[in-house]
Amino acid sequence: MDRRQLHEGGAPLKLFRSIQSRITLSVLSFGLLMILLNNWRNQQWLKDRRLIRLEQESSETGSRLAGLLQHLSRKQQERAAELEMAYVSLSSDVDLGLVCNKEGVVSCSTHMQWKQMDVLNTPLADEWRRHASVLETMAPAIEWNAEKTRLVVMVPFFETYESSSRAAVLIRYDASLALVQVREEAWQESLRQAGVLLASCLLLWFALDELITRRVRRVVEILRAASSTDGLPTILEGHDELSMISKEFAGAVTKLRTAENMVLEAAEQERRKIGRDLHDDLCQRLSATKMKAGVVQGMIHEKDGKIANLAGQVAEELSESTVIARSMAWGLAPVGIENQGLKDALENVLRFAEKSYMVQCSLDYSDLSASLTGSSQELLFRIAQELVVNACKHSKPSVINITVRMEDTNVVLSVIHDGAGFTERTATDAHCMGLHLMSQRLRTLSATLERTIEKGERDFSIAIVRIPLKNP
Amino acid sequence: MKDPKALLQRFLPLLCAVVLLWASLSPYQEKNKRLRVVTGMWPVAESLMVAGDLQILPHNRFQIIEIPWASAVARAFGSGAADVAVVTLDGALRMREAGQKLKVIKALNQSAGADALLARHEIQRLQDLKGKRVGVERSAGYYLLVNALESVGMTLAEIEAVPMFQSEMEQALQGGQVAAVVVTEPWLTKLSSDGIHSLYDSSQLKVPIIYLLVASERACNSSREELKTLLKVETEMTNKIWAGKSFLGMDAVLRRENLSAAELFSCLGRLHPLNKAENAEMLKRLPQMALQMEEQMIRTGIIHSKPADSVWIDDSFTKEALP
Repeated sequence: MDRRQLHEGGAPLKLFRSIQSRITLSVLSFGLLMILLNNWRNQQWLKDRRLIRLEQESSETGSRLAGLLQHLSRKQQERAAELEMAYVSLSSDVDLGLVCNKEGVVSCSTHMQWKQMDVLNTPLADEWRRHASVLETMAPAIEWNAEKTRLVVMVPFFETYESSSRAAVLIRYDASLALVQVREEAWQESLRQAGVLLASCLLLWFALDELITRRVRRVVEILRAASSTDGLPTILEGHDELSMISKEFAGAVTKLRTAENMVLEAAEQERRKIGRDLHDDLCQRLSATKMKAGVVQGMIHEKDGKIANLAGQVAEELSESTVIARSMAWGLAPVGIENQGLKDALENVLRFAEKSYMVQCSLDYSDLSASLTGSSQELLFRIAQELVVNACKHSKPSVINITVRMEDTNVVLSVIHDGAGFTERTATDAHCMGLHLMSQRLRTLSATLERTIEKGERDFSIAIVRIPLKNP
Repeated sequence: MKDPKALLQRFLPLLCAVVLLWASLSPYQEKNKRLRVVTGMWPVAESLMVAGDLQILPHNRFQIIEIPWASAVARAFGSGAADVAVVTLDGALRMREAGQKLKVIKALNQSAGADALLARHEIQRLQDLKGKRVGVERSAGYYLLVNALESVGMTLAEIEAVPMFQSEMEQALQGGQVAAVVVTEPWLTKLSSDGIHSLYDSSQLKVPIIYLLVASERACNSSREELKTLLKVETEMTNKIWAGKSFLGMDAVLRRENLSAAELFSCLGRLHPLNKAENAEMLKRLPQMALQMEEQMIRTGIIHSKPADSVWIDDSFTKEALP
């Protein structure tokens, strides 16, 4: 699993830490808080309004009924009075309504079972007792219970033209169901608001995802790709700020790559120059001095054995110094110093691997000197060297093969070995440095690196480098 | 992005948002609204009223409204002040003719002599009513009167029909304002004892007077569970009331109907509650009975046209509530 996969694998966990989530959750939380506050305020307001309306309704109904019943009873229209009481019972808040004379006999009721009964035997006995003074004062009374769930209204009237023929309409309203309904309505409204809020947040989430998160993720991919062997970073379409960032970034990366190539080329040139200087100058001088030391040794040997020995030692040390200097010169400029160029250089690497790691090595080489420039050959060599040395160090192979060939318009370098496959985890810091430099070289060559494993009796790890010839 | 799963994942919030918005902005359906049941003062409705008195039909789910007159019951139902009503078949036909959207959900009871044409002692035959005033309520009374007159070859035009409420009839008959009245229970029981005799009663009808439980279409759609509960409770209470012995809540019934216990049982005897099988059979026969009744009502001018064709009988409630 590469870094990108690792990043995306943790996406569900990171989802709620993204800016998109934070904005959406903040809006949702704030909105829910507002809805709860509004619910509380709304419930209070609806409750107060319902109670006020109930008071108004009870007062109006009581007064209207008292006036009407006074008229109907004087005209002896008891049936019409009954019908009026029946219509009062249509109100969902009316619990019980009675019309009683001053003796307490019920003449009309919303529930017919109480008709002609003594009011003290009805469910409104307590209310009648409590408001008995209404028949004395002839002033209507309206009263809530302590919990403000029941309202009693008592309105007096005269049954006949006699001032002693006093009667009253007594109605009890039960507001508890209405208050439950008010609460339910408030919660229903809050639920509706929460639904709209949630939908809005989902839309916000979607909009943020489309307009920002996906584009930011694309920018991150572009940034990530810039450090890999991929080509130049792509530019985000559109004309927004993120698109501007990606354009600026692509420009910066292009400049950086150019500078990097120049630095790499300069470094290689300098190494080649030092290598050649070492080879052509110092090594020649050392060889000549060694030869002269040999002659001096021959000349002295006849006269003085001790001095001759010393001259011999000088010649040997000069010989070793020449070998070291040649080796350094080769290391600094491996390609082009020897006659066969890249091929010799690759063979040298394989010899080194055979000698140092006891690995059986082979090389299949097609001459590419006409296709690649000197510096490109040198970069290719460095890549091959890194791949071989890494394989020897970390994969413990028994055989290694290097193939260099043309394939369509590409120069292809393959390094095949039977050691363990390459994984990121085997990479040490030094290894990482080597890989980093290799990536840099691949980028300079506009080359790609592909690693595969061929399964069989023995597994073979294959690293294939493709260098397009249009930019060799 | 061509991957359908990824595509779904991408647009899932958008889909959810649209669904949620649709759900949130859809019309508010009032839950827990009480089912309002309006009853006339017929003994057949006592099963519902007793259930209300005893809180078997809980106060927070059902509101039992007592309205003493059939015409007022129809008006309350028609105005939307009630969801369920107890009406007679002819009453249901009138309500349908008036354009009220209702469904018969149960046939409760059949009048077996509970409606009668009562006359003073000087009127011995139906023919004697010619040119006389007859008190009648705008309900099943007209239907019974027409049938009574037609049984002896008379028509409504040959008498003077005086509209009046049941509760006025006793006084009007005794005071001589009318020669006869068409009464129903419990007034029939109250009047029968005063030397007033019956000329014709509902047991002689070809198409009987049927008491129905009707519900508004809105209630059928939105309060299905409440309606089923109502039917269950009504059936249980009917069985108790018509068992012929004292029952819980009887004192309230006696007060409401203003009858003694003996009078109540006598009154109940003239009403035949329909059991489950009879109800199912009655609901099947109802369209044919309604057709016959409609023709007669149009002929006699009680209604002017046939109600619009629509499904007005729904036996699914009784099937579900009384399996």
